[in-house]
Amino acid sequence: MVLKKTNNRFIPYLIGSACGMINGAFGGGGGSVLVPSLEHFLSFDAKRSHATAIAVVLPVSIISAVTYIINGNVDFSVAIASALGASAGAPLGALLLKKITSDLLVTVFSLITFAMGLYLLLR
Amino acid sequence: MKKYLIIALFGALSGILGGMGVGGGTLLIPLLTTFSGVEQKIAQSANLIAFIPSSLISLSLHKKNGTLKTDGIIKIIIPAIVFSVSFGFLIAGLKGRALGKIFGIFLCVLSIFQFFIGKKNEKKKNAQNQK
Repeated sequence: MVLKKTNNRFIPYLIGSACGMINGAFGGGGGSVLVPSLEHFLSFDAKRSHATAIAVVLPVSIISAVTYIINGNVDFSVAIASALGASAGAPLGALLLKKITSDLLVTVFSLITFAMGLYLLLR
Repeated sequence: MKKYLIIALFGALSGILGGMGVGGGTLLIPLLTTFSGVEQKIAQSANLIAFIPSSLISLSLHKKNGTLKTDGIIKIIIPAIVFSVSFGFLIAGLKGRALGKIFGIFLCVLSIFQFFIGKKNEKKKNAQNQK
């Protein structure tokens, strides 16, 4: 890991803490915080940031899911339907990535996310 | 049954975006709560569970391509696990609607960051192409 590139050895712990807070509180979004943080603070390139983010959020999500189950906040039919869809979509997304410029996608995606966020806040 | 087909479709959409490296989970949760009438915390746990198989697929692809390096990663994972569990219990006491509003604020802030990061990367790439 390119930890030497930063002077502060606490940076990985801080990034991990922020990711955990977000992912635990909202059941997602940890990766969206991790990727730019790894690129900015630890100078990871884009591909390595994505791979690292998944490797971090995977164990976090497994343990986090257990806390949600303990608290009774799970509907397994909803979870399984989502999981089946997502598993089919993930490799398709990886294929599409080679054909579509992801920067334009980021712009469109951020606008959609903003609209949904505003709706959730104001409804 | 129709409800679950639509949920699977939303899952697929978030999986596609996730596979492209754009936060899929941040889209699946509001899709489930807004269009399928799923309660906020139920949507959040569904996203956590949906992430597990799809990320295993992505991770194996990254491993094959050699983009996955795990040295030092434990320094990020341990605090992430500690805080995700404690914050998971913290929000368990909140009402779904209140949590939904906080999640809405998070989405707005996140999307503004993503917008500018996307623009910055676009500029960087254009500059590289001109060289």
